[in-house]
Amino acid sequence: MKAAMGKLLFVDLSKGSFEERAVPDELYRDWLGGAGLGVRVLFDEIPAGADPLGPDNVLAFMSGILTGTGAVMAGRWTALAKSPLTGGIGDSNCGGDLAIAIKQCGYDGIFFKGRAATPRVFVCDAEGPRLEDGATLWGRDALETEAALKAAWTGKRRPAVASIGPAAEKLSLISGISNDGGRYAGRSGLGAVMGSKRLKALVLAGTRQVQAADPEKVRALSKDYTARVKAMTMPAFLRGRFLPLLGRLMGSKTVLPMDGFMSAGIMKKWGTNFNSMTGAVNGDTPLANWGGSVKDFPRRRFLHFDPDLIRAREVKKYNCFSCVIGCGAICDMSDFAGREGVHTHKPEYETVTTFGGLCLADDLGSVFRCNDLCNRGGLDTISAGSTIAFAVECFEKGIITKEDTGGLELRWGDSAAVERLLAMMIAREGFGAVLADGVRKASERIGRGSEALAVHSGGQEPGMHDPRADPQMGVSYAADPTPGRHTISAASYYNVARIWDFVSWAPPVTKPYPKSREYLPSEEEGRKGAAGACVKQVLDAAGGCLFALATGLTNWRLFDFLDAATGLKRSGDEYAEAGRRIQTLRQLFNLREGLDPRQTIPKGRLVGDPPLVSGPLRGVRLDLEGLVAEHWAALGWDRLSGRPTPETLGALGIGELGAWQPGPGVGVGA
Amino acid sequence: MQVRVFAPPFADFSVIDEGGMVELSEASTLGDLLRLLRVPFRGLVVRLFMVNREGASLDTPLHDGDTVSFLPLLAGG
Repeated sequence: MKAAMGKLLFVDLSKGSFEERAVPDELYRDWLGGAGLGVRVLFDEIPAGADPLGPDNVLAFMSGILTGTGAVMAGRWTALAKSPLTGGIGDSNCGGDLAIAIKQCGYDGIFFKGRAATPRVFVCDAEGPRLEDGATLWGRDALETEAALKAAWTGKRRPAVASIGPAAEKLSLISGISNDGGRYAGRSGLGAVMGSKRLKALVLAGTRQVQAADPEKVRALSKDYTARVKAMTMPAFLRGRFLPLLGRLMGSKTVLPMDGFMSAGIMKKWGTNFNSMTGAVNGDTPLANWGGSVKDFPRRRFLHFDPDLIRAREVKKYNCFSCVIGCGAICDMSDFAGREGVHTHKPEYETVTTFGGLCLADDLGSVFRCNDLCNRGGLDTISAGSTIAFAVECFEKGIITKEDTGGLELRWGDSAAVERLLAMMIAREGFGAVLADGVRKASERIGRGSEALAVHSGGQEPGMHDPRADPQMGVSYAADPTPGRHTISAASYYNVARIWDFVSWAPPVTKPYPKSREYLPSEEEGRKGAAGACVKQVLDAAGGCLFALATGLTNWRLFDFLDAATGLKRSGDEYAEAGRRIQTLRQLFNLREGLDPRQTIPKGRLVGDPPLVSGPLRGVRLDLEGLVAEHWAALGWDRLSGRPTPETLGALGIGELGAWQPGPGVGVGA
Repeated sequence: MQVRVFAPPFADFSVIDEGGMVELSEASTLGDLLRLLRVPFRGLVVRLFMVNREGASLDTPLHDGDTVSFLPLLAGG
């Protein structure tokens, strides 16, 4: 199929061998590419019950079907494997420059099996794939590793590099994979999978071209979108300190249809950090390990994270491959680092919140240093900061003492202690070793009732968006086969994406409605979340950016891009069906691993048990089980068990992939 | 003529139809629309509106098919 390279590469690290496999067109038609094709292949390649950190696990690096076709906002790659953090399908996607580099090597995806005897670096260029010695890089941080590999490169073409840091080498279950100087595929613990295979880095420098079916059409779609994004700028008078007022307005009791395209202007100006100002006042931003509110972290404190302060540090805007928005930037942190010339990727909102408000800390310099520590050491910032916030609360409540922490006093707002603990986690030293695998493992190790303070979904720490403010965000945390993810579906994303203009069964949001409706389990809410999840799977198969989707499908025309690039002529309903197929197979993967989908539905403070006693979410409780049941039903899964029904598997043409399921129990809550 | 409206929470939504459109007479301006929506402090608040994603004033003329948007803030990161 056009837009695809037609081949996958399998690398057996145990044997040091390579195998190219042609991909039949029907696989592309059913699974598109990227994360969709990746999960289809992994379903066959990873044996049920495989040790996620053993040689039987397979780690995939997938490029999107749209990547390299000339489509803008289509430069995201996805890493996939069985997750050591959740025990189910683990995926994590990332921008940077790796997605196009995979295709330029002639492949839609590269799969790593087995385990090398000694550290290796995978290299692929015009001479083909090979494995090189990585022993001298083992132990070095992810950014040093990338810099060293690029400095030693003698080829004409500048390579793209993905690498892991020491935390992944030490098999931290919350470690990720770095690319392009600190862009991270951070979620699902896939850095540990790479570390377990003793694969230190990938160096990709191919020169292949990607062919679109209708390059003129792709170009025209890209040109139109680019011109409108360029013209979209926020008014100069709009400063970061005004954002709390807007945040309060948008968090009101009425949900309004929103023009998603305006978000392009917000992202261009501030990136994701605008939310540091709005989230605290409307309840979106979790504070004090999800147990506090803006009363505990008032305006005078969260203003330390005014996005204008971060923007003032930008020395260069950063765009991922094919991105025309440019929410990223390279920032100067010399004063924070205590030496000249230190630059870093701008910390995202998630990072600012985990090392900021979640720990009730307001030191911007510390947030930059924690961001840099994670990027170098290899930890996912969401999981790492969340685990530290958990530890601080355990200490504050007397569950752990200085005897447990090796003399370290952990108090709300103590940024120096946060940094010290983070460094210990990366090195797996002392009390850091207790925390190095995330909150679930940490609470199991600590015990003493700490489990009640461990906020996670199926083992993964949720993103920094409170489901008590957006219940469909909670559904994503609970019901996505990679739980705890904030980039799947939410009422706010649904509002701006305008899926209903393309997918007939997606309910429209064209009139204001009471916010209270979002808290009630209903068929309509179920369909909204399901439509969002299905389109997100298409997006990840395409290699598209969530922030493009947020500008609205009527603006960034994903389905038209796919038609023009691949030659497929499909309706929005048909693409959504492909997304449902992918989502269903992800669920089957988890079921085959013996996971019970009901067990990933979080309980406790994430659903308001006990409810917050102050702030905009005071007294809010979520019926997440009811909302998830509607979500499962809308996907064609059993509403009680989360198992895809035989009818759904048949309709999606994947009945044989679910044939291992116990017959009589299927679909009836077995 | 009809314009698509993404209104702020303090607007009167009764003039917006099921499809998110507002019916206006020909030669209407953004100021006319904000008056119809009963938006308070129009001279100030107009700075948070855009017409076809470009900055606008109360005098900005509207045309059939235009999009008038109040600055949205969505969760992200």
